[in-house]
Amino acid sequence: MPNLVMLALLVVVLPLAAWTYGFLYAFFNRRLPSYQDKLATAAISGSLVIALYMFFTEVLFVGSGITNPESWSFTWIQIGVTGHHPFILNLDLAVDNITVIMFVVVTIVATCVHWYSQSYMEDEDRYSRFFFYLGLFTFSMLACVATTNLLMLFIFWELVGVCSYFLIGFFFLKKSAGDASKKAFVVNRIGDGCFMAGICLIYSVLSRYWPDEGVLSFARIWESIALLGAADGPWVGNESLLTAVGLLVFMGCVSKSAQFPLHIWLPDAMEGPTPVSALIHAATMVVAGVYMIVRMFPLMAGEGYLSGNYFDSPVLFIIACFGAITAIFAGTIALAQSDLKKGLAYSTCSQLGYMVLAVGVGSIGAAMFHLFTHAFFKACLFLGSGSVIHAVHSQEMSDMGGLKDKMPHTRWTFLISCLAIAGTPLFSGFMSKEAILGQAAAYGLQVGAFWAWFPFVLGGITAFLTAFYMFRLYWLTFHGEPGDQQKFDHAHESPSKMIVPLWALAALAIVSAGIAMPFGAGHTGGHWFQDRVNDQVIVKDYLAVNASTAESRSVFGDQQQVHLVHHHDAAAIASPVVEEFHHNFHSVHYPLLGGSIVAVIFGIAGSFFFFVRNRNKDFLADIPPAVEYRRVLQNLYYVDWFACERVVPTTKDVADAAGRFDNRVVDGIVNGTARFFGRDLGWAVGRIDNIVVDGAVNGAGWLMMAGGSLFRGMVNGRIQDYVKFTAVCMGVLLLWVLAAG
Amino acid sequence: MLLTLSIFIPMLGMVVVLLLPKDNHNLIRWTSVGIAVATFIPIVVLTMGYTDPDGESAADTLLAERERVIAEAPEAARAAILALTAEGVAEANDPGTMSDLAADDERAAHWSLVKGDREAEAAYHEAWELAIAAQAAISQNLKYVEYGNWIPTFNINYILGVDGLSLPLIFLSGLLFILCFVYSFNITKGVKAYYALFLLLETGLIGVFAALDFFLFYVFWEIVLLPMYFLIGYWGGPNRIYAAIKFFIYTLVGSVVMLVAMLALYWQGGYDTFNLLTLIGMSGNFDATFQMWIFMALFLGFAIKVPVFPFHTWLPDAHVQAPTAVSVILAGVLLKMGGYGFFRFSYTLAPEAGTSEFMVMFIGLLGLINIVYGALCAMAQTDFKSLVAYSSVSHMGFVLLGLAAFTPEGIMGSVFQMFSHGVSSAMMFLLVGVLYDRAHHRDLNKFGGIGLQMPYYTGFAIIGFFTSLGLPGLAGFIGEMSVFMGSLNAEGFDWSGTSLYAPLPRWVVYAALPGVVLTAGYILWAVQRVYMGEAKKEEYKTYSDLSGREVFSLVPLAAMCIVLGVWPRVLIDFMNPTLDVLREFITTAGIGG
Repeated sequence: MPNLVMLALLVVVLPLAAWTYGFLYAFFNRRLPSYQDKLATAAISGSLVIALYMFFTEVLFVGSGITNPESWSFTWIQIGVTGHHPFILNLDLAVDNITVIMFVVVTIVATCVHWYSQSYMEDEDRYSRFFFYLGLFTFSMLACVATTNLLMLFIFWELVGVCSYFLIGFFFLKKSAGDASKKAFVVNRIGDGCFMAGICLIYSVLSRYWPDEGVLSFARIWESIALLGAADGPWVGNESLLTAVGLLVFMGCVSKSAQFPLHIWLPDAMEGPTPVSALIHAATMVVAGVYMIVRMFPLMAGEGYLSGNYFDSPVLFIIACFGAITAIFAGTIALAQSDLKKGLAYSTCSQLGYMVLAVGVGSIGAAMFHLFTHAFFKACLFLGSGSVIHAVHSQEMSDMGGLKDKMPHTRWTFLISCLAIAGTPLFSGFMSKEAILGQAAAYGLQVGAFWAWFPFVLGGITAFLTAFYMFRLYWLTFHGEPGDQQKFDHAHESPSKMIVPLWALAALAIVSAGIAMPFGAGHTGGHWFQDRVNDQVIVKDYLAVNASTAESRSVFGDQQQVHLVHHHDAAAIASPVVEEFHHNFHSVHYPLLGGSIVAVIFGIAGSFFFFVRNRNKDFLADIPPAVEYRRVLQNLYYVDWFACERVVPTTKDVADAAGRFDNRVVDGIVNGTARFFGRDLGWAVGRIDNIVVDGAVNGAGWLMMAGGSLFRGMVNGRIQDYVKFTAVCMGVLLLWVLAAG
Repeated sequence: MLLTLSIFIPMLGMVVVLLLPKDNHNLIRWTSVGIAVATFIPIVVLTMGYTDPDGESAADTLLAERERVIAEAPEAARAAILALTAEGVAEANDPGTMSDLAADDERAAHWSLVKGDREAEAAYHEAWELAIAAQAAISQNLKYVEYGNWIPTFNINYILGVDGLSLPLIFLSGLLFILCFVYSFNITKGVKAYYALFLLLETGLIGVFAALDFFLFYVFWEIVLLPMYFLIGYWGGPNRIYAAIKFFIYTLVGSVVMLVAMLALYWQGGYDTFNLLTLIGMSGNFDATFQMWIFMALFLGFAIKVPVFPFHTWLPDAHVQAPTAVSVILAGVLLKMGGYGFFRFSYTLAPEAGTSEFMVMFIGLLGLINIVYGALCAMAQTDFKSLVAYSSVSHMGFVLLGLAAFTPEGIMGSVFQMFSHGVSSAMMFLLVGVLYDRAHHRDLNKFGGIGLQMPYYTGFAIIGFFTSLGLPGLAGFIGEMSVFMGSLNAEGFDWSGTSLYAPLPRWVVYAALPGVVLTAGYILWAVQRVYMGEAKKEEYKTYSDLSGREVFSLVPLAAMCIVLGVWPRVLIDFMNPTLDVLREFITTAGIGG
């Protein structure tokens, strides 16, 4: 087992070990160990150290990072016999740049949250259970990004989902928490069902081409796309299926990454404890969807992937539209939220929209970059909001205000993160958001049609909105007059266990931008990070295969030994389209830079004007036409209403109807048939028996008596009648079958 | 010998229990548990030894039996038997009927040697029967075969044997009976009769899964019926008589139709045999119409047991009325008799009918209806037990869907689903029983807050219900995933060289996908109503957590849920060879014999 794989396994297994210990302890002692918190924190801290070691020694300062991923694989399931089309599911593991980057994101945020929660959750009942769930979650999440097999990814994907379910419902005594957790799981199941179907279809197509192999590894999926140009590739004759697969797999992302219209679970998920919101519903689990479509990018790009011309792919355009719509949709709703956490939740939704948009316009590098930076500042924002909630015991912003001097650490870290998410220059969010918008604009230029500007225009407006609504949250929480004097008086800064993680994340909200800066050995210009990401999916050998010969099915003798090549080399091989795109990107780069700075300034200044200068909390109430719109916003565009008041009750009605149908019609027919044969027919037979046979012998008077008693007997003891019936049936069917045979 | 032991130890145990003093409840209880454990030991030995590659297969045993028959045959007829049955072996794929054999000139000469001599004729027939049986495709994987003459006049034999399909189910039965016996310690009404009937039930169930003679199978099948009827009818809930009679009649109707099919097979072409393996060996000779009739007749019998829509309405009634332990056996093993029957009888005896375009669609659509309709009905229930019962209907739909697909994953998923449902539904019924014993009601809307009061119990409940929901890492997921993989693969599968020219279309599977969402819906809704929230009644706050007896019954099931989810190869590798041969046989039986 190669060295890096060993380390990666260690990163994944440590939290699992802590969890398993707790599980066994609880099994034997009927309660969790009181030191589960220490155990879980120690485990994740260990994972963090290893992940950082991997990051610094293999990715950050080392050439192009990991260019030849080490891999390891073992067969988890084999269904069927080799040679007879078996289904093979391998636990594939390949450590590449994306894996290490995701490890770093997950372990950093998880470690901060573990430390933070020790203080934040201190007084809660079932304190140990909280860390028990957290441990299972971090394990599942790390495993989800470590594995390079799509079905394995799905398995851990579901596991993070169920951890999310438990953690949202952590305060299960509250009905709203129970409802929210159920909603999250069921809504996610919709996307997961589609995702599963997509995986099944991929398997169905690829297993014809590569029998006796675990075809669901990323390497095989990418290779199948590379073989699109070949005359006998796996997808030949299945092109329409490829589009369907792309969309089905993307549906998994829609639910997991809270894209419109399946975003409805995310704001409700704020019922969970705030550290959970930071970890699961901001930094890690919700970005799993984005991570997944980044990994599956070739599948989404389809034919265009070969030439580097992603712009014709209908799937990608649909993805871009989903992202853009979600970005502006959630961004506008965030304007009208009065609950601090809900405001942050919609902002997460909106930022996830950006990431998805980036994938849609063909820039997975920018998507991963935004994922990376967003994880830190959004986690910081959530933990900061937790600190405030901890102090004032309320989530409503009307109870807050003026806290800037009482909670200086919280305030400054919150401000830094707000600046980062708003996209202020020198902060991380600026770099990543600008990269996305640049790509979106270049996409518009490249395609040329007016509809191709759709993602850019919506993304651009959202950039302004982001600055506006984020600073609205900031002003209303930390500036102005206290909303509730009593709560204000009781408020105090949080203890150091909560403050230190805040500062760590706030520092990363600035520093993580530096990663995109041109420094470090062997960097390639200003796109250091993106290149690291693009390396993983742009694979020279696939292109080479495509260019030269389509015959060599097993270019990669060992399916895991995928040789990766630098982005620019791949571009050189690829068509001029790619170069044109790069040219377009550079031509929009500088105007855009200026534009986004202006948008940020206007956003922040606008919210300052409304909420600090005018102290106007209901800013849309001033302008008459806006009042109507505000009502729409407060009703969340009626999507939740439609889902909860229309779809769910309808489903329940249908279910009730099915239950009644089952009870009355299906069972009614059964009972009716039984009654017919058992009582009515038996009665008739009895009558004939009595009247014709007995009557001839015994005479009518006695017959009536006997008939009456027999009749009563039939009704009371039905079992004999049934035996009679079955005997008759048997005879009839016997004759029938024999006649037929 | 071990198989016979595991079948008849419970029956002997029943006699022992009946001899015990009526009022010494604890003696009866512990004796019964002891008997169940004693039954389980040979089963465990069988299971451990099954994968031994040197184990004697059915083919070996049956050929040895043939040698014996020939050796014991009258001197004069021996040469003729040898010649004829050797031909029979050689031409197993197209052996012709007995009369055909006799008609041929050369054969007629041989036949005349034995004709008239009853002993010689019988030996001749038995040797032929064994020769064909040893050739049957599935006999490669059958092991521990026991052979003996039972009613020679009608060529009824005592044949037992197990393979990767039946042995897991026998294992599950053996285990569940121990758990049920322990769980039933709280029964105080008619303890002696209760345990005696339960033991008889065990004999029937293990016999059903082990019998390889159709007649013997039918006898065990009917043995199962009787104790079940009394167990529901006497120890059940308020409406128990209705439920018991409904169960009895419904199953009887099915088994009578099955009997007809069995007799038709016996007389078909003058084979005069109930030997399942012989019949399977000859099934290539059955014409399409006959196969269709056989298939439909067997289908009805098994479909009622599974249960398949629209024959499922006995199930909720029986479950709701039955005492907890009976529900556990009913859902855990009894329903599997139907699924097992499909694999062992329907598809092997009528492979051409089973793989016909009509039947693939028919089974696939019924699977779809079971999944979605069952889930919808489950959602509508307010009775906790009834909800679990309908969830069984929904889950058994996956068995049908995988079966209709005929791909390796589909078949495996189908069988795996049977097993994992056996574990998870048994566990769910126990969980409901635990709650019922405390609350004395099962109304979902009146529960609430149990999770706070009984955290240990709730932990088990989470494992049980999430297994049923199909959460990865637990047993239920493997079957469901495998069925989806297999059924969506049917259209793309390489069917060249098989008789399946019209595989299950993908839209049937797409249509079943909402079932996954509905399943999550009804299970999570139930979990929320029962375990979450504040205690709805003051008395819920006084409930004690699980007792040792209850923990004992739940732990093995919970462990199996987890082990099969994390390391499913335990079961999959066990079943792989058997199911592969079965699948190959069914999908190629229609072409070239």
